[in-house]
Amino acid sequence: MKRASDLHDTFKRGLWRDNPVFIALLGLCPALAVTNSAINGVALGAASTFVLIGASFLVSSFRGLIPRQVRITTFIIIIATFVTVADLVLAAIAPAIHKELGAFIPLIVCNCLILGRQEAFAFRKPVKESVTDAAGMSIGFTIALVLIGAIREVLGNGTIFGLTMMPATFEPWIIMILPPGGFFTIALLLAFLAHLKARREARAAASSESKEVIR
Amino acid sequence: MSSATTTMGRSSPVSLPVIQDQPTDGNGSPGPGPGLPAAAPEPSAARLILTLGVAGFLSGLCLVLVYIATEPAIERNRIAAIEAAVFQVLPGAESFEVFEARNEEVIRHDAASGAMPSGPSVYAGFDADGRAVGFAIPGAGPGFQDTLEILIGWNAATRRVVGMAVLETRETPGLGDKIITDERFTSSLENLALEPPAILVEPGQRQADNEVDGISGATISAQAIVNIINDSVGAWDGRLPDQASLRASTSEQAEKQSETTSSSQDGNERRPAR
Repeated sequence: MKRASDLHDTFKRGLWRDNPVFIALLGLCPALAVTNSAINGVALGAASTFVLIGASFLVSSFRGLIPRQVRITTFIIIIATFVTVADLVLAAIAPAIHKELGAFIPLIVCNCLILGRQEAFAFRKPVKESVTDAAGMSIGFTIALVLIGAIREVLGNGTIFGLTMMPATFEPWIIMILPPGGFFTIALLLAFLAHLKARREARAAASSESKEVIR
Repeated sequence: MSSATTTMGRSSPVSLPVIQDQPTDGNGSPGPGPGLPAAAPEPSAARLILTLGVAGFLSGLCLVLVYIATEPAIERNRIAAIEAAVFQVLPGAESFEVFEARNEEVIRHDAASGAMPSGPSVYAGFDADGRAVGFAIPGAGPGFQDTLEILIGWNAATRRVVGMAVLETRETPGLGDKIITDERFTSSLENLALEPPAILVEPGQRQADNEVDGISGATISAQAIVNIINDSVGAWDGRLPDQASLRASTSEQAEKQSETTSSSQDGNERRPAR
C-alpha cells in the first residue's frame, strides 16, 4: 500500500508540484521557442515524453552496470539515441510537424530536464519508480507546452489546434506568436501560479489558526 | 554530501540534479548515496572503455535499424512534397519529368539510370496528352530572415509566370508568411509577365501584367519573391527546351525522337490517380 501511494506521489510530483516548466523552470528553451501553436506543443511534448521515459527505463535498468565515472556520457548516448529515433520517426509519419519543429527535435538531447531526471532519479531508483517519475515529469512538461501554445495561438492567430476560436472581427495579436509572446505568456503564467500559491498558503495558514480542516 | 542525496527522493522540493565532484582517484570520493548502486572500488580504464563501447555499439545498431525502417517513408514524403509543389505551380499538369542543366543545355534527365541529376534541374509538366504545359523552376534568395526557397511555374509558350509555391521559409509568422496566404499577392503571380521585369506595386494597385500586388506588412518578403522570380526565370529562360514541341517521354512523339526507348517508363513520374 505504501509503495502504491509512493508511486502515485512520484507521478503527481512531475505533473504539478514540481512541474518542470512552471515550478522547476527547466526546459524553457523549447518551451519558449516552439509553442507558437498548440499542435507544436503536443508534438514536442510527445517526442520529449518518448525520450524521457525510454532513457529513464534504460538508465534505471542498467544503473548497476554503468560505472559512475562515465555515467553522464552513457546518459547522453542513450538520450541521443532516443532523440534520433524520435526525429526519424516524426519525419516519416508527420513531415509537416517535423519541418515546423525543425532543430528543436535534435535539441531535445540537451534539454536539461531529461538529463536532470537521469542524474537525479533514474540512476538511483528502481525501474518502476524511474519510469513513473519520467512519465509524470514528461506529461507535466507536455501540459505546460500545450497550455502555453494554446494561449499564444488563440491570441496570436485566433485559433486553437487550427480551429477558429475568435470572431471574425478579432485582429490577431501577432506579437503573441513571435518570440516575445513566449516570454509574455510564460511570465504571466508564472505570476498567476505564484499568486494562486500565495493565496492558498495564506488561506491554509488562516484555517489552521482557526483549527479548521485543511483542504 | 549525504544531505544532498538522502533528501533527493521526497523532501527536496525540486529534485534538481546534484552536482558532485567526480572522484579522480579512489580517495576523497563522496561514495554512493543510499539510492546509488554500490560503486566498485575503482573501475579500470578498460571497464570504462568497454561500457562506452558497448553503449555506442548498441546505439549505432539501433539507429541503423530505425534508419532503414523509416528511410522509405521519409523519401516518399520528400517526393510527395516536390510533386505537390510542381502540380500546384503548373495548372493542367498531369505528370512531370526532371530536366537538368548540362553544358549550357537543358536536357531530359534519365531517371532510369538511377543517378541523381548532376546539375541544377527544373521540372517540365505535361498534360494528359503528353504536351508540355510549362516548367517548374526552383529559385532561392534572401528573404526577411533567411533564405527563401520557392518553385515558380513558368509557361514558356505564353511567357507568363503561372504559379508560385514556397518550399522553405522562415519569414515572420503572421506577417512575412502572408506571401503564402495573401490571395491578392498569390493571384497576381498566376499571370505575370516578366518583360519588362516584374515589379512590386502598392497592394491593390496592379494594372500592368508585370506588376505584383504588394502585401501590407510583408513588403520585404513580397519584394524578395519578386526578385527571386525575375532572377531564376531569367537564368533559365534562354536554355529551356522549346515548349511547343516538347512531349512527355511516354508519348509516341518522344519515343520516336528518343534513341533509347527503354528509359521512358521510369523517367516519367505520373500523378497518382485519384
